[in-house]
Amino acid sequence: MTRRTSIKLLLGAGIIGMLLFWLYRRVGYSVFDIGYLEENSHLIEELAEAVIPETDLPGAKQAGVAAYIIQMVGTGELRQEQVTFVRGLRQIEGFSQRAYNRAFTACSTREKVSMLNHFEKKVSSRFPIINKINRKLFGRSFIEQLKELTVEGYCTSMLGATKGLAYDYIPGRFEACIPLSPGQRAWALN
Amino acid sequence: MDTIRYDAIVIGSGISGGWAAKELCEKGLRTLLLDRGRHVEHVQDYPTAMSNSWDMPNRGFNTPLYRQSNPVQSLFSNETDRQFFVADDEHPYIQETPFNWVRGYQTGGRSLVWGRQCYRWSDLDFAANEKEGVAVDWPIRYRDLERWYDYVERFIGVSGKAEHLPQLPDGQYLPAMELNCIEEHMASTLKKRYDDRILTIARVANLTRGWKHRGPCMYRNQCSRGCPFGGYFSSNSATIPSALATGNLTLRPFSVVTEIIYDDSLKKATGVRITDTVDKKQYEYFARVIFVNASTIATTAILLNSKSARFPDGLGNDSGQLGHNLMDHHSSSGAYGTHEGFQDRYYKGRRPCGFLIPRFQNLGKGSAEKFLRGYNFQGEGKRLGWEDQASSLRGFGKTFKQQLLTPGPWSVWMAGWGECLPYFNNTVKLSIVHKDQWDVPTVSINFSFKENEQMMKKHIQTTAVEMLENAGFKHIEPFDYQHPGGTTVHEMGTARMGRDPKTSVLNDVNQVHAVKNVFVTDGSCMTSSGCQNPSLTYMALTARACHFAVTSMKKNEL
Repeated sequence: MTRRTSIKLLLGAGIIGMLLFWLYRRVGYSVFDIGYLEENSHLIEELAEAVIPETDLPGAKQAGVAAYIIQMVGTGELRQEQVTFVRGLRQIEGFSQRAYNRAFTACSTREKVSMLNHFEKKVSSRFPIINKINRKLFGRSFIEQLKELTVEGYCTSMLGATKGLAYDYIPGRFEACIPLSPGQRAWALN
Repeated sequence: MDTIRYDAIVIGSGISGGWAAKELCEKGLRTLLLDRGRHVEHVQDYPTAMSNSWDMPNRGFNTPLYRQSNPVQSLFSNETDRQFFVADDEHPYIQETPFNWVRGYQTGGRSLVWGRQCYRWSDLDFAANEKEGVAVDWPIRYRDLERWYDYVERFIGVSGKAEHLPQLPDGQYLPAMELNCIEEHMASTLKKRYDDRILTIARVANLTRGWKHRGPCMYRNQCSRGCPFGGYFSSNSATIPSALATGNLTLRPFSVVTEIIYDDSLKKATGVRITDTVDKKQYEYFARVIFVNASTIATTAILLNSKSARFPDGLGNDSGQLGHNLMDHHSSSGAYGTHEGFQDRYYKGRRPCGFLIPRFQNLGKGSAEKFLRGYNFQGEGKRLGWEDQASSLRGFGKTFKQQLLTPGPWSVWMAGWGECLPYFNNTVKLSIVHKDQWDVPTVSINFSFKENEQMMKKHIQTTAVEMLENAGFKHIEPFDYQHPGGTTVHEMGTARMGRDPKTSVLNDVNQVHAVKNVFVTDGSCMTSSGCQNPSLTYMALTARACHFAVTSMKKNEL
């Protein structure tokens, strides 16, 4: 085999491999089932609470974030991201069983956070361009979906907006430059 | 309909059509105002105006699924305001090249959702074509429009600050809104480091005090939902109520104008033919003068579709220029940065505007740039909030939550709004094969930015980065979103004004050269694009043309 043909073969195999992988990520696995989300609402709730836990301010559970996530993933997301989410739930459950020998929901707060950190490290590259390409080709990863949906759901819920953030329904005037008061929280968007 | 004969017909009730209706009615003309969309009554038809995020099914967002089925509409609107934007699939158009045509089919049109920036043009803009030998000369200069700018600003109410710049004339302003800490810091940096540019608060049609029974602004920054306080100018809140108050206005929504009727023997337009979108029947209405204010692309489509023995290629199209020279500002490139200072400062209230760095290139002094014309910067300073930080903050749990809910570092985002030259090949045409549900030929758009705009976009990035560096910003990122035409929603041209009927469609008072009782005073009349947000100029041109039309009618010249 000449050098040239082997390069060609390698390139060809690489391209076919990428295509198959893309196809697999897109359609090749589990069928999406909205019922699965509802059956796992407790898991989703615990995941969201691990992202934004209750402190002196309300957490994701109190703010009803799980219902928001189920609604958005179930009725608003594209199929590719729906499938990614369902698959992510299964993966994190499997990971929890292997690492701690119990369900995610039964783990301690520290364990839950450490699992989420593990998932986040796994998908984020040091190179922003790689992250961008990944996102463009495959959509958001499970952990990005979970984090972004939890933040959105929390910050736009009544409890999150009015108690977690600083809420100003009708400001009435604009004060352009004022001292930051101690414990000042960011403005809710409304 | 109890009468089909009026003194005047105005096609389109958006920002310029609303003005035409108000002016003509106030001057005593019985006026029919047509709009193709539904009626939107000020305040009562703003269903989301007082909603909180949690009151809405998707918390105000576009879901990915919704975005997929409405790619153009969802770029410009979301669950809070999409009732004022047409859905993509209901009103198709042909994109020969990518072009975002954003439309609002309702009483008030896009005046409900406009950006409210109000900048005057100067002779730097009006004389540019002539000076450089580009396209054709504007048939007017600043002195022709100055009093009409005054007149319009006094009615709509514009907050802003006089800056005494020859390239951006001052107007009649209500008290200006204030810059926040980081914007003040940018402003003082520019003052120290540059002698050719300043940073000022945006000049906007948001009311800083009560004005003509409207406002003041409540600083909610939810303008595009419609304002129950009348805090900003729209046809719905201001011009249409004024027109109705005269008793001379008939407002007819659900009326798609299919063509303007031209009488070959009288040598003038006699009226319009419409399709009623409710009963699907055709109606004809007649009047002495017709104002076409359907918005740039739609106006030209109506003229192109108005064919007669005299005008086989569209009403008033002797020059062959109708449908050509489409323009839109580019606003894709700029830079973004964060600043480590002012950690102990914040703001209260949601100011409905940002800042402006008026044009400072090619002003005739100093060295000329490689590109023609110029750009201004529009931008905003803020402390990052949860919406900015959700995807960049690492980690989970208590620390993450603490960071997320605390005001982040100060940031400035700014982009260059740049002039687009009039190119003959940037066109609006009617499809020969495709028709819409009203049996009107579908609009087909072919548009691209060219070398001059691309050079300007590079320059914008460089100067934006340099200014942010000089002001001590960190993590500075230049950007070029490469948005296609239409994205700034400043469509202009396609029925340009000019001195010569052989090379332009409209004369110096916006009359169709060859059909004197038809006036076009929306964005389609623009001979060049300047870099200023154009609505204020449309309004001033409209008021001026109405004055001319009524004066001529009284003299029996029309």
